[in-house]
Amino acid sequence: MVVMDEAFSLFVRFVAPFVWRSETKTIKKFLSFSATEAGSALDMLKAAELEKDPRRRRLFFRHALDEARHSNYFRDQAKNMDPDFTGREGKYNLIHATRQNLYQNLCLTEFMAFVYIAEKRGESHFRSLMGHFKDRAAIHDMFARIVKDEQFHVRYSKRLLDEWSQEGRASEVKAAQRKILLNRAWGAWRRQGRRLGDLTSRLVLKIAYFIVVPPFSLMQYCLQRNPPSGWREAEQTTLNAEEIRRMY
Amino acid sequence: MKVIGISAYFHDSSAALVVDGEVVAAAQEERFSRIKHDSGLPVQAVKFCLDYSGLSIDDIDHIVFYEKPLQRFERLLVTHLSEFPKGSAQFVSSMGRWLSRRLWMKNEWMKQLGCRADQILCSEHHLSHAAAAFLSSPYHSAAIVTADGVGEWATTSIYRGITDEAGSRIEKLKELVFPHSIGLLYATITSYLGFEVNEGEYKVMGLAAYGTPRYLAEMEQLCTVHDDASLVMNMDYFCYHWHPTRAFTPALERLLGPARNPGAKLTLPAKTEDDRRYSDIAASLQKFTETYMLKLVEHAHKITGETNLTLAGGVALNCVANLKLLKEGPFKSIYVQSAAGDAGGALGAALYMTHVIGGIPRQPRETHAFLGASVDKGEVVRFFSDCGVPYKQFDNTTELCDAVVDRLLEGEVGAWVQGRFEHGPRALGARSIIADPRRSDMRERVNRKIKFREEFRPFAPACLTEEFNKWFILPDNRVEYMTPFMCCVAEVSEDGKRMLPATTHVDDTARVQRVEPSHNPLFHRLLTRFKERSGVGVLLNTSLNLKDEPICNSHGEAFATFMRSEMDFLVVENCLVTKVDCQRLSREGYRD
Repeated sequence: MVVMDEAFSLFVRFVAPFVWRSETKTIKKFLSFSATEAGSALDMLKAAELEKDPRRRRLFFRHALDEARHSNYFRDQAKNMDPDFTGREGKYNLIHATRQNLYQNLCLTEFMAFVYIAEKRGESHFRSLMGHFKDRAAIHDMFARIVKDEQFHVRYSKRLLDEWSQEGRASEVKAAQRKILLNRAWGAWRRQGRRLGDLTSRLVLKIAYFIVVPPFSLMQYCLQRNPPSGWREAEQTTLNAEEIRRMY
Repeated sequence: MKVIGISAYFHDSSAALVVDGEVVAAAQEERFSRIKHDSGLPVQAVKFCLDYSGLSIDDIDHIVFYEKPLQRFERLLVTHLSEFPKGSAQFVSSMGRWLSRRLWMKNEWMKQLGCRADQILCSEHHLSHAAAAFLSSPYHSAAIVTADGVGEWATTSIYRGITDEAGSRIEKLKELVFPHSIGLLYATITSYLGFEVNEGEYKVMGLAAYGTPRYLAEMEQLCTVHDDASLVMNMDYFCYHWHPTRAFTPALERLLGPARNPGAKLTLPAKTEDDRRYSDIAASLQKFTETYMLKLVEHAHKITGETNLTLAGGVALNCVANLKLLKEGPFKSIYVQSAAGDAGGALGAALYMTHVIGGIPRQPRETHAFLGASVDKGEVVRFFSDCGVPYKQFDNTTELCDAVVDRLLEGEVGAWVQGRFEHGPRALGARSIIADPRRSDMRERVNRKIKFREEFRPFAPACLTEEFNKWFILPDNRVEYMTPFMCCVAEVSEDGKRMLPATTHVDDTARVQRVEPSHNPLFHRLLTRFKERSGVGVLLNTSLNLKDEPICNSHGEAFATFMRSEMDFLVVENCLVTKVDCQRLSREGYRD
């Protein structure tokens, strides 16, 4: 995993000049980071709400507040960089976020493994960007503050996983980490598959539309009476026990 | 008899559980999934209903879908045949959805809900609306008018509902069919005005008050209304039946001028010619809708001879039109159920199966909307304690109400989370943001800093029943069934205009909620304490959510909303949290 993180960090540094090539791109990117962080905040807050262990609940809650603060950092940074800010304040007031319901969909060990892996990746990503923005003090400092928080998230999640390993659940922890890593790859594969499937089905349906529909359409055109308008008296006034069983 | 009703696959998916004629639970899926207007199968809402009642899916006798899916599919096919070759894009997207999922609805339900095929039944879209309206109303007999975008084929229907010794019956009398629809006209102009369909209709209603209806002739060109209240759309102006993303053709823009860009700033009262045009178009649409609805209910009265009216479907949520029906219509009494839109279809489907087909006797009575999930008091305290959130716990409700009133009188705005959440689109004092309505700056503050929404949108007042006639005017004081669910506006009295600037809209009306002690005792007590201290038994009441987000369900979601906006305090059950105390939390972040 360390090798993968290093590779990811190298990749981020390599593509950074392209990804962050203009102020407009940077503002857009910061707004998207802001939305992601806000989404993480909602997920961590839900975890805090549902978790029963007081220690973990407190950790999740604090993590949620950190993510919410990061979201605000990115939003405010985007706002400060926008020269046309006056007159469109609304754009930066509320960052829309989506919750992924991770805590509900994963078991606790998997959830912690997810937090550990995602935060480690995030820390590495933001550290690389800190380096990229070393000449822009405000952005550099912002990333430095975020990296510090991310380091803590990595530490606490690792500590919990380590504690469970020491309690004799090492294989479960390892399996959870493996599953999360595989899930990420599997998720990416499925997303691509879905895209391809969607494209294919659209193509097939488009062809079907122009081959299958025309004769029926022509038939309907020939048989067509005036299209229905005005009141239609009810042919059948109620729905009985037999009719409610039908899908038509 | 235990029946679950389900509405899904369009917008506002919902589930409702009726046990032996009692509505035990009902909730929209969006409250659990946090996806606004969630259209998926309401798996979490069904789970909530079962958990709440302690039943399992095997204990349920019937699961009733709110419409006939194959009839809707037939409409799509017939429309595509008649519009060939224009509708290829919509054909691809809609057939993709139908062939991959909706035609195999029963399999999906069995897999996701764990039910059996023989449990699944299908009602009709407008019949479900009609059943929700009539079977939850306090009437023994009534005319039922349903009007929405479109169901299977029907867009507007007239029914008669009767409950007598022989049981309950709902008889369909007549219907208008697709594409001729007052709901689709409203939706199309909503989209033309740059607002989102199924979401922006409230905004159009709010915007209408700022304009003058100088486009009525154009509206009549779009849609011809006959003497018998039937209507015919001029389809040269509309393409909702074949276009995948657009509802109107360029002809509409030639008639009314260029459509508004969804992101464009709208300043009201209008300062530019375009803004004036948009508000005038909204006013014309609203006026046209009101006139049509009046004609429709007059026709319903004529053919049914009933004195009571129940309204359902999305158009029934047009609270401004409802006032016109109350003032000028032929009916003595009008009832609109709390979830009059598609979310209520689930309830209607379950009630129809129970009372009409199942024969379970029905007791007509006024119902309430607090049918959703509740917040556990002990869990709230544990959450705040464990998370280190500073809070104050109150032993009795009088002290809690006094503390809240103190803050409201100081001009603070707060969230109020109590008991089970509401079924339907309105917050009625269970998941609400509350403020002092006497402050003229309050509307702008709540719109801009707390809800982050358009400045022109009005706020509703929640009013003690005993104070209603002091601040609001309804014809012949006919308040009894219209207002507990905020489904009708009322004119604001002279005293009201002077004392309630934050909740009085620009046209001197307000979408008022009448608060009954029997429905929501704690909210009633809060209003009473506020009245004792301020002389006004009215509070500004708006839903506890931010712009484009669903209303909150749990204490954690309420806390997140509280922290993301500029609300001053949050009350969850008997705990009070203030922003001043919480600011330390968000500043510090986590340290070892």
